[in-house]
Formats: sequence, C-alpha cells, structure tokens
Amino acid sequence: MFKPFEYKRVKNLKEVFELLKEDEENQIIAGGTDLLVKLREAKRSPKTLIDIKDLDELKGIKKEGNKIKIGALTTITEIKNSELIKEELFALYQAASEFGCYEIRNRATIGGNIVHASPGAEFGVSIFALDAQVEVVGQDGIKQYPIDEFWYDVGRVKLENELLKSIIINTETNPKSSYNRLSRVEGMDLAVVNAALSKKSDGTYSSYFGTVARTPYNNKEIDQLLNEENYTNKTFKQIQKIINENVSPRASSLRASPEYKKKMVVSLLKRCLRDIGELGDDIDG
Amino acid sequence: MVDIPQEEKRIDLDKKVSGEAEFLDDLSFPGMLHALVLRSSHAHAEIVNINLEKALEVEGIEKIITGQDITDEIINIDIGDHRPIAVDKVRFHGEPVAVVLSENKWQAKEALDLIEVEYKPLEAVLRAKDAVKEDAPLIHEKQEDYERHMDTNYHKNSNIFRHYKLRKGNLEEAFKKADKIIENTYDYPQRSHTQMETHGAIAKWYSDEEMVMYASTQSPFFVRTAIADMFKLDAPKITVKSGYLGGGFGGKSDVAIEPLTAFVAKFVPNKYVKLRLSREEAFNASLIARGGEVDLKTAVTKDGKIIGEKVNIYFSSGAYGSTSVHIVTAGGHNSSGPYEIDNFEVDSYGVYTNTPPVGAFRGYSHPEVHWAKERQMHIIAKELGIDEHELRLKNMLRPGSINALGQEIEESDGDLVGCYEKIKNRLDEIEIDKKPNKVYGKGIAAIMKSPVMATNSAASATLRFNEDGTCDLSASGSEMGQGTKTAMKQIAAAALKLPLEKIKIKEDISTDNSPYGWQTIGSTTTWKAGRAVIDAVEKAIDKLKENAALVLNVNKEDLEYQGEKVVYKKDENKYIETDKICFGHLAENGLVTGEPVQTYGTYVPKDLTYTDPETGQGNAAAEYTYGAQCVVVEIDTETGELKLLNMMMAIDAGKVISPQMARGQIVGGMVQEMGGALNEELRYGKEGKMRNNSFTDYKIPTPLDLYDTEFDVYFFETPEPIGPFGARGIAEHGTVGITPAFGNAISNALGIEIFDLPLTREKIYLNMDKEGDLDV
Amino acid sequence: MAKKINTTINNKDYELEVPYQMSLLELLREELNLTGVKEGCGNGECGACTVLLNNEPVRSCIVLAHEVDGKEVITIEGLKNTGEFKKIKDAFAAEDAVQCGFCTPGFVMAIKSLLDRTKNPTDEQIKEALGGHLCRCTGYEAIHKAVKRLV
Repeated sequence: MFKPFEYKRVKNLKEVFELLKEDEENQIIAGGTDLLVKLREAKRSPKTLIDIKDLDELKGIKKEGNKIKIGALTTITEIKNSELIKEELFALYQAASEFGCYEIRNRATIGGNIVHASPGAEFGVSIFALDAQVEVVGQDGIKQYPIDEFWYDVGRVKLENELLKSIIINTETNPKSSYNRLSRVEGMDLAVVNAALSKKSDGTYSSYFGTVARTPYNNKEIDQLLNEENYTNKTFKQIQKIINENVSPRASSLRASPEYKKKMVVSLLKRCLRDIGELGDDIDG
Repeated sequence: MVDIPQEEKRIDLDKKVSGEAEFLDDLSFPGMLHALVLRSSHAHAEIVNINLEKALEVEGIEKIITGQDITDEIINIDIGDHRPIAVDKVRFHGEPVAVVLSENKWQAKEALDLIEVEYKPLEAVLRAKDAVKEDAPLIHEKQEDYERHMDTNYHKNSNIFRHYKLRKGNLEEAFKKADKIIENTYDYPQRSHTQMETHGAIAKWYSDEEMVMYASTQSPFFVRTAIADMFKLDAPKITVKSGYLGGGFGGKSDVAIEPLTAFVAKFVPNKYVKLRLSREEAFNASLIARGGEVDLKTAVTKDGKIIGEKVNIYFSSGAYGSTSVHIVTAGGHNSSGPYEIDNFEVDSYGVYTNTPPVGAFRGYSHPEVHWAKERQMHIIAKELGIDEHELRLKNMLRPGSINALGQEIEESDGDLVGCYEKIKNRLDEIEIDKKPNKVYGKGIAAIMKSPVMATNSAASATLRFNEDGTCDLSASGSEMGQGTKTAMKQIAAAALKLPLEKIKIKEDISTDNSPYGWQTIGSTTTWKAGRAVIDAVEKAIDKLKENAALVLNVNKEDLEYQGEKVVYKKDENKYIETDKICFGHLAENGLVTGEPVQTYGTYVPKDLTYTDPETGQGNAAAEYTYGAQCVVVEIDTETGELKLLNMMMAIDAGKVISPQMARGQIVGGMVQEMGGALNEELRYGKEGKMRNNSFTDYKIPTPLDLYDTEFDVYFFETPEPIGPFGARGIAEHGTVGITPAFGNAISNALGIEIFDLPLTREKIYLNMDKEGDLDV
Repeated sequence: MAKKINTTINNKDYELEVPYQMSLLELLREELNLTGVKEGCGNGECGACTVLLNNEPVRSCIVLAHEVDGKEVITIEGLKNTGEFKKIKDAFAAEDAVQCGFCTPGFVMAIKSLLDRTKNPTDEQIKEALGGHLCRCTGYEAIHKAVKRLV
C-alpha cells in the first residue's frame, strides 16, 4: 500500500522542470521498479510523482559516429535485446541479462538504475568501466559529465532540478568489455558483489568493483597489473593485496561479509578476463 | 493390493490455473473494515505510554484498540503466556501494539502512522544459548503465574518454558566403554515458512456473542477452540470457515493472527473486520520456524557401533511458548535419528527469545535434529576411518529394535534399510561430467519421522448418498496444495468400488457442519482422515447391505457389496444396483424400504500417552516413516557457488495413493528444505529487529536454482496397519534429511565440515579458504 | 486525490476514478474484483501479480493504476477463454504443476507471454521467462516439465 501522493504524466520537459521547482520533494517516476518499492516503505510520500515515461526524447539506443548513446528511459529489456549493444558493449548486455527478472526488465530503465546510485547497481560498475559520459538536461540546456563525477555517493547523483537524459559510451576506445556479478540465488537477486572490465583500444584496462565502496571502486594499480603479459597466481595475489589494503566494505551488509566481498572481487575479475579471452580456465595456462 | 483409481488431474487444478480458486484475501463483504496493526519497533521493551489523540482525529477511523482494552483475554494453547495485543511490555519486534479499524485502508494507514508509542527499551536476547545464561534478561518474569494446559516442566526464574528429558539405558557406562567420544554442536537458525499467501482472517461478531470467522488456517477446529477459550465462550458460539490455503507448511496450523482478529472485531459488532498480513508482517509478525542448536556427544566403538549418546537441544522458541512445546518434545525423542542407541539421554529445552514465536514448520523439529544427527554420522565415519554407509547400516533401527521412546520397531514400520540401500546404489551409479574450477560432492542422509499430535487428535469423514447414486464426501483436512481432497476422493472411490465421477468431495470447511478434524498437520491427513473415510465407507457398505437384504429378502450376511451392485452370494443372478438402494429403495407403488445411507467415520490414534516426566519415554508417536535422501552438488572453487545436480529420495510410503501428487510432495519438500540448507535464515540486528523481512534479503529457491536439477523419487510400499490401504503420510518427509545431505556433500567435495546452517556460498568459500590465502 | 483514467482491461473499456496512490494490483483486485491476480509480496519480487500491460508481462503491484491510463491490461481472467490458455492448463494438469495454486496465475501469464514471443522457446528463454517467479510448493520440477511440454 502506498501513502497518498499526486501523480502527473508529463508531455514535455518544461512541465518536468516546473513540477520539480514547485516542491523539492516531488519525484520523478520512470519504470517505478525501484521508486515504488522504496515508497512503500518510506515514512513520507512525495507530493507529486512526475511520470516521464512519455518523453520520447529520452528513449532509444543510437549509434552516433564512434559513440553509442542510450536514452535514460531505455528499458533494460531494450538494452538486452539490442544487437548493437550485444556486439559493441558486451558488458552492458551482460549487465542487462543479470538485471532483476523479465517483468522487472520490461519496466526498469537504465536511467532509473543510475540515478538511484545503489552500490551494487548493474549499471554502476559496467558504465564506470566503459568511461561513460552522461547528459543531463535542465532548464538551461544540456550538460555533460563523466560518470564518476555525476555519480558521487551512495544514492547521490549530480542533478538539480534536472533530468538524466542519456548515457554516452565510446565504442572505439572500449572494444572489449565484460560484466560479472555474484548473487545468493540464481534468478532474481541483487548483486552481492559485481565487477566490470573494459580492455581499451590502447591495450590498457579499466576495472571497477561494486558493493565494496560507496561508489563503484577502481584502483589504478590493479589496472596497471592487468597490463602484464602473462597472468600468474602472483598477479592475482597482488591484486588481492591491493584490494585488501584499500577497500573496507560495510560490515553490516546482510548480503556478504567484507572478507568475502574482497575475495570475490578477484574471482569476478578473473571471470571478466576469461570473458574477453585474456585468461584461460587454468590460471597459469 | 488394491488399485487406487487415479484422477486425470487434481480436482482443484482447473480452478487454480484459471485464478478462480478463492483464497482468504479474495473475500470481501459490504462495509468491511480493514484492520491495520501498529507493531512494536522494539524486540524487548516496556510500553510507557500510547497516545492515540492525533490518530483518532483522522477521518473515517472506526476504532483504535490497544493493550489497554484487554481485560482477561489470554491465548492459552498449552501455556497462557500470550495476549492478542501486547500489554505493558513487548517481547518481539513486530508484536501488535495497536490496531486501527477503518473502511478505508489509506485512512487507517494515516492514523496508524500518527499513533505515538513511548517505549523503555530492555535488553533483548535472541538465541536460546544466550537466553539460558544466568544473567540473561527474563522475557517472562513470572512463569509460575501462567495457567497451563499441560505440565511443561518450566524452569522458574529462567527463560526455559519447556524442558523435555529422555533417559534410556546407562549413559555413563557407555561413555566409559567407548573407544571414541565425538562431540560437536550443530546450529539450525530460525527461518520463515514464506507461504506465497500470507496469513489472513475476517471476523464478525453478532450482538449475541456469536462470531463467524473466515481464516487462512490449517486448523479451523483448533482455532475455534482457542478463540472460544480466549473469550470463555462455548465452542459452538464460534464458527470458523476456511477454504483453499495458498500454502500452509505448518505455519497456519497453530493459531496465528486469528485471536487478534477476533479480539479487535469484538469492538465493532455486526461488521466484518479483515486482517491480512503484508509480506513483511508475514516474516516478523506471524509464526516463524525452526531455530535449534544441538549438542551431540556420541560414544562409539572402533568398529562403528554407537553405544551411547548425550543430546542437548536448545530451541530459540521466540517470545511465546505454546506453539513450541511439542516441537521441543518431538525434537528430543527423534534426535536419535533412525538408529538404535541403547544408552541415550536427551535434554531438550524450549527457551523464550525476543523473536517472533516459533511454530510448526514442515518437518516439525525433525530437520533440526537430523541436521545434527546425520552430519554427526558422517563425521563419526570419517573419524573412525570407516565407510559412512556401513556405519549407518550397522546402527539402523530394524524390526525388534527398541527406539528412543522405548517402542519396539515392527516390520510394518517400513523398510529403512531398503530405502537407504536404494539411494546409496543410485548415488554410486551417478557419473559426473566434470568442469574446470569446479568440484563435486555426493551427500546422503537417512531419515525417520513420526507425527506429533494431541493424544485425542481425531479425524473424521462423512459420506452421504444422493438419490441418483452419487455421493457427497467430506473429510477433515484443509486443502493447502498437498492434494488431500483429491486423495480422499480416491480413497473413497477405491473403498466404495465406485467410479471417481460418482463422488463429490467438499473442499471448504466450516466448523458448524464439517466433520471434525483437529489440525491438518504432521503428514497425518492421508493416514488419519483417510482411515476415517474408510470407516465411513465400511459403515455405508453395511447400511447398503441392510437395505439390499430388505429388498432382496435375504440375510445381510449372505450379501456381497461389489460397488455398483450388492450381490446375493448364493445366487449371483440375484442382486440389486447400489443406486437403487442408496437412498432407501423406492418401489413402483411409492413404498420406501430401508433408509438413506449417510454415515460418519472417525479415527483417533490408539493408545497414545504423554511421555513419562522422568524418562521421556512412552507411546508418544503413533507411527513412523523411514527414508533416505541424497544430493549431488557442483561447487565453484573460485566463489563457493553451489549448483544442485541431483536430488533423490527413497521413502516407505506404505501405499501410494497418487504417484504424481506424492512425487510433488517429496520434490516440493526437498526444495523447500534446500532453501534452509543454502540460504534461508532470519537475521536480526543487535537490538533484535528483524533485518531481512522481505524477499529482497530472505532468499528462497528460485526456478533457476532448480532448472537443471534431476530429481528421483522412489516409493517403497510396506503397508502401515492403520492407514487407508496401508498408506502413510509423506508431506513433510522430503524436508527431513536435506540439510545434512548438503552438508555431507560439501564435506565430500571439499573436505570441510560446516556445523551451522545455512551453507551459503560465502560460508562454503570462506571455509575452503580458512587460512585466507587460497589461490583465487 | 483522484482523477479519471481510461483503460482497457480484458478487452473491456473502463473509465475509472481512482486515487493516484492506487496500484494496478489494487485496481484489479479491489475495484474490478479480478481476484485471479494475487498479491504475494507487494514488492515486485514474487511474480504472483503478473499481468500483461500492452502485451508485456509486468508486476502489477509496482505499477500505478494511473500508469495504465490509455493502455491495455490482460489478467488471468481475460486469458482463460482462449485456446492458448487451455493448452497451458492441460500441460499443468499433465504434470501436476499446481499445488496451493497461489503463484499459478502469475506463472501462467509469464508462460503465455513467452509463447507469444516464440513458439519454440529454448531452455534459456524458458529460464528467462520464469526466473522471477517464486513457488514455495512444487520445487519447480513440475512447472518446468509443463512448460517443456508446450514446446
């Protein structure tokens, strides 16, 4: 049961901005799969839910030159079913495949997943590793930020009476990528830990890990180590050491202990490396 | 052997697939009020003050009820320690503190949020072993003040409300003689039943103190008695009706929300009041399940004979005791597992803790004690360096053995050895297709289960022939997915030798006019209500013969009932069709001979007694069922992820009534318990707030966990003397040995021993990596 | 606060005035008495309340009634007179894929939608369609077998 609120389905961006200005507690609803669950448990409801589902300018997956632009209102199902995404940004295909369940994917949007900024979000580590840029639209026009500037804390993104418009990823610089996660059951579950890896066109790596820090976690030393020619157990021990020394996941998590999460970072990284053909089943081989 | 006629599909299938089957929440009545419950936000606290002022100002509020409205209403099943709403003190996070009644649920919610409660928090204690410590806070300060319906052997000035003792043989001697003594502690945490349908009840009182209630309950008669007792009314004043349940699993067999619903409805006579739990409430405000820590100290000889065992069991039973008393007893005397142990001592404690009260759950303490026992058997075999199968087979109960209760095991109790060997052999046959970074393990467990019930727990059935030769059957037992109504119909058809389509069975229950049934529990409905159906049929056949004798003008003793007709044994050409005499015989001139055939069948378990207070022995278990179970698992060495490849059970079912439904019960039970093996555990914060009261963080098995699993179920059929055509109940047994089967499989795969459930991916991995330097 | 919505439910057009905070599940069950749609969790996590919204399965407990303004909803009640439903029902009957029956309508909606998408679903597609549905009784074996029977 939800507590009373008002609801307005808007037809254009102007209406959104007006409603956002009208009351700071007004909230945007897109797929509602995160928001409505949160509202059920919330002490207070927003005054008005602003339904932006009809804003076509925030939808769709487009290739523009060497970039792919994904509208914030694109559903997870659309991402999963996009041949373009599967071919060019495999990590996002994998993230979409692991996301929620079929019915949830039909409603949930990539924008919603990003603006809720949960530590284990499917579209957290994956878009961080791909060095995504986000486009934000407000009354004064469009701004663009790198994702790590936009998504700056748990549940916090840089939006002030603005909307996330799209996510832009350079496919040329991200030829190979992978996303992996660990859950408690197969089927519908949240990620207990997740990891994404992009092998850049210049041969360097970008790796990100979720639920081990307040925001998707990257460590340049790990990315450096991945540049080594042949991975051995020693490589991964070094990576483990770096993780152990640098992250301290929340001890109160119900989903996994800090100790396990830290270990799983390395296990999932290995899965990502295997996905992009950089590591065999046998570590030394 | 009798051929049991088979339905093409369970009788409620069409209604359920099409969504036409009505569950409690599908009922509503004009002017019905919604009851919303303000629940304690503390696990243990004094209620200092409740301020309703602001809440009462909300438009549309009919009534707000708090503990101050309680006069002397007490829920007293075995121990009168429980009020429908907290009075002065709350004992678990989720306990009712106030109830708002309104026709408009949003207004009720608004008012609920405006109720101000001031608490003085007290120290909470969540686990039995902490709650029995000397300095533990007392959850019930004066147990001696409580009225009791039985002597629970509580400990004064302690949180122990039930102490069951069992003493058999001379344990001290056994420990002296032992070649080895093996001591371990096994933990089975509290869980949730998570029926897909949460609890619900609708009650209405009439001005003359009569009440009608619709409830999602496995035990309408039991609920009636409890409510009548609470209001000091005669039972017939209360009518309880129930229909299809969206899952029960024992969680709807004890009284749960029904006394509260009845209590609050009494303030608004002539109005229906509906209370339906949200999913969160179903987790923390209804009955929860399990929660036992078992210490085993086993004396063995070097060739693998168990000569003695000491068992201590500490059940974390939650804030109120009635629904756990018999769990403590059953866990106690079944902790031997299916083995003969000459020198055996048990101390089984029911301990108050600041959690929701624990009630019955599929398996009823057998899974807790089998988790300990069958892991212990595996570990004993390892420590002695002998084969675990040999160890089990050497110690198993066989005809002539004396079990823990002092009962002699008979041939008719079932083929335990046969079941075990079947599973062992099947396990040996399984070949595994190995993959990189994975290890594999097979794990096995033997099981024994006895039902737990009141010594006077009757079941009954009615049979009524109609003018056209069809008959209406009614049998005790609630339909909650186990298929009891289909099975009862099959049993009746087999016994009556009539085609299935001639019999209609009533599916819903009303305490006003349905045949009495104590509770639908303990896998006893096929066995007990089935026996009552047979009794009703036998009486009906006798009546049919009486009618036929009058019509044919022969002696009743010379007639044979053949189903569609009653035949004169001395001359087969002389007979009368059953449909011509079942309503009395109507002659052409209108003369009626004989009487309409309507019979009532009953069964009450024979010779059950309470256990002896000192030895814990006695005839407390009416029957036994044996079996064996196994799993084959694949474990990812980099993550601890576990995939179930095979799951099997062999069980001596006595006689299978419906092979397909029977398989469904076994498979369903095994998978439900797999949840407990791998993930399910209610988690509490330090102050005792339940932290995972939703499906987000209480993970039950999903379709994808089982999609590639191969199941095998083997039925043995050693007839049980009482059950219809020799049938035993089998609804719970799938759960009993699954956790140790997983534990043993993990041990065989990785050489690690885990003693506490659940066996999460994390726990498996961290146990593999005890030193913390595993090559990842 | 309430405002009118226009929606087609089970091929019937409705103009309804309902509160903004009403979920689609509440609209269907409490206003239209379509009680074949079940509430198992209210949180989008169990699948018992699955209905088709413009022919795609959604969890009606986390969709607002006002979100279906101008859209089409099909519930189990709208399905049950179709030939497709009969096939699903027969498969469930053959495998005894129902026990308590509370989750069943949700599974049926998911399976109907799966078969709309593809006549011969692969294992992966079956897993995808059923993955978010919970059943506490059957252990899923019989449900999986029923779906495979339809392929």
